[in-house]
Amino acid sequence: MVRWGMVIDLDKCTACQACVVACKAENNVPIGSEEEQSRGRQIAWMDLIVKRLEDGEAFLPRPCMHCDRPPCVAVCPVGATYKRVDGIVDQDYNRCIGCRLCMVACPYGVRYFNWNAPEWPETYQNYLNPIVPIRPAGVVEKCTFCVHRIERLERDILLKKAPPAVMAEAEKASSLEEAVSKAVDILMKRLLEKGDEVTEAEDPSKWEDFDFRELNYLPSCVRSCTGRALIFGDLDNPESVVHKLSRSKRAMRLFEELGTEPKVIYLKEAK
Amino acid sequence: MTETRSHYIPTPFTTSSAVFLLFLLAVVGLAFNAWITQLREGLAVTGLNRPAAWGIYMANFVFFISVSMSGTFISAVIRLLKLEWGKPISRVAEILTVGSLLMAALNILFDVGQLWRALLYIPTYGRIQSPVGWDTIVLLFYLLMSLGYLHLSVIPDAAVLSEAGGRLSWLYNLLRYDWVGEEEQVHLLENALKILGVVTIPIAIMMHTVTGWIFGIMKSVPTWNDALMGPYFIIGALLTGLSLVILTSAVIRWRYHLRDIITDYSFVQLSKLLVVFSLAYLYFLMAETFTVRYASVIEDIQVSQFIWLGLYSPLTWYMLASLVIPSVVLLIPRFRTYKVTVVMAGIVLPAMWVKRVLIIVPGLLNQLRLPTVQSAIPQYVPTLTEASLTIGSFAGLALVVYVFTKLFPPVPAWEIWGVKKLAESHPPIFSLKSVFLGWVVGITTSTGYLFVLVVSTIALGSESALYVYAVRPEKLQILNTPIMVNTPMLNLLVIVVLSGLAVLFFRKIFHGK
Repeated sequence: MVRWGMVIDLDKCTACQACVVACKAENNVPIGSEEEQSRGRQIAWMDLIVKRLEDGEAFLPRPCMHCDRPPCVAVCPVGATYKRVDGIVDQDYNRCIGCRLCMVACPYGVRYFNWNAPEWPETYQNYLNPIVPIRPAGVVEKCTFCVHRIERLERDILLKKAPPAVMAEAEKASSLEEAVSKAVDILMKRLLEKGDEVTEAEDPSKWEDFDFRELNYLPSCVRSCTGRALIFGDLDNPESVVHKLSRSKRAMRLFEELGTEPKVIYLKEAK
Repeated sequence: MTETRSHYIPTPFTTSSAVFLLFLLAVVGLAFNAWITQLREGLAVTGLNRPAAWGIYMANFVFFISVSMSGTFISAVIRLLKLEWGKPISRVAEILTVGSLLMAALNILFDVGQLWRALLYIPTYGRIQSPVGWDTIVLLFYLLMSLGYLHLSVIPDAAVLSEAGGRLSWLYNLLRYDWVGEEEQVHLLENALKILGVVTIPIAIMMHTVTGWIFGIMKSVPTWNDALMGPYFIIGALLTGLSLVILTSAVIRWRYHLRDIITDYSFVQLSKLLVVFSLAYLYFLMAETFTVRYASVIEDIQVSQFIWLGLYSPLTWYMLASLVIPSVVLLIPRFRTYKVTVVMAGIVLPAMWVKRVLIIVPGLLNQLRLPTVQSAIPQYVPTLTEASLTIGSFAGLALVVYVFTKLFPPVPAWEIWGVKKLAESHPPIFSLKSVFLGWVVGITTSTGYLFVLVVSTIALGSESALYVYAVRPEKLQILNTPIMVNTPMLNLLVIVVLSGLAVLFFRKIFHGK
């Protein structure tokens, strides 16, 4: 069984907020205004938390933790939010009645309510992501680990349209879950090894089998992370990068005492 | 002054009552206008924001729920313990329950972002595992039961009024069934009310406990996750409800000249209850505060500082003073008089509303353990829309009570002046016996079923509360289906079937005799 999770290496995080912007662009999150920000109504599925310490500041990129025991799911009166079998906590925007019980129940504050109908500048209208639904006023929304991207990878594997390197592994897999899990891991390793750090000085022939668009199967924040601090994958796959990193001595999860069992694992900054 | 009335006929509709009615309607109309605006613009017109996701709508909801404790519960206790002094206020208590439950339901509807979906989806997709799911079901039952209780206790008075004639005699005729005041009928009525009273007490306790659990089960909000919440809410509800009953009874005694019926003695007895409840509430407050401050869990102590010494401290100290003053004053026997009791109830009531805000807002403002870049200082300032909807719901409650007292006697006349023997009138649609059986059996069965439902939900534990779906459509299924049926609609169906069977069964017994 797949269990999607994320590792965030705080040593590598440069607090550039590329993930925050990429998430907004990918998921049709309204840009918001300064006024909304001051009223606490800004939406940011992926947010950068600034914690003030005695010696300076600590930065913490914060997506949804996709808890294994999500308190938000337990309290929803109509089942608008649910945990998928692959561990992603998803939201049904057409079911949500906007009672905000989940916002109160979530200790991480990852749930956002649409106080107004979303608005974008005129020039932005044509650049909205057609795959992600636009949420009306009065519903709660949240990070989905870019579930539409994972679903597209599944579809492409089934249609045999996925990248050759991925397809080769997928053919060997016994089930679709396993294929997707392996595919994401291959893509993740590619991103970590090569990334898009191709410069003109390098030999282009070396990159012939490599199409940068392949990496767009990964969540938007992971794809755009400049420091390669965000790592995505299947926590149950012992071969995967996230699995190995989650066993690191530096690994920690937020508010473990609450028993929510989050699937986002932070690697502490080394002193 | 000492005119002995044989029965009570509602006072005629005068100019002054028309003015008062128009005033209430105007306030409700303004609130309705605000609601329309809110529906059109979304919840953006309120002062709610991200840490403070709930505001005074939720406080109003809890407040009106707690007012509802007053009514049917107090009335049932009065009836079961045969307290003579309590009889005149029981009608007021019952109508306050019905009105306040309606206002509570309205306030929760003000609070949701998608009104029509809430109305449609809670009955169809509702989950009993959610605290709001429990609360909706229990609220519906309590409302149904209070209506039933009020309905039954009004029958003899309606019969007398229908004899008197007038423009509204069709309404009274509809409500009297075949009541003629025979001894057998009185006996049946009193038994029915007694059974309903017995059922009322557990359901009222459940109602307020469940409302407390909405907050008690939230482990993410500091100071909410507390086993004390259920009992705390019950005591709070008793105090709130009682003070509103005292105030309303005083107004009715003054406006309808019932000085010789709702006597000073009744108020003296009520003042004793008031002092007991307010002392109990202070005790709970102390228990809560001391545990939090002594244990000093960082998040909890932060909220405690915020409440007692921070931004919300004026409200807190006001609330504390308003609870201490009545407790001290009413402890002295000399002060337990009509006037002092009414003044003290007037002091307690607003303080209890403030306390509701103090439970909800400070906890939420300190909810996010992670500081955010976005809202530097979490704050919540209610807007005009919220204020007008709040005032509107209070006016709505007053409207319900006022219209009722204009239609029916504000005191249970048949219990005070004795049951009147009446001549047979128009043949009724239902016989009295079937109405009694319907309410009593229906409500008793459904309460039993409700208990099984809630207990099994709790026994199933949090694991069953998760709602796990398979990913792809061909595999779409609920993997972790709770053992009990999971929609209120289905539950209602089961209840209807069960009550139907029970009625058939009981009828057989009745006919057998």
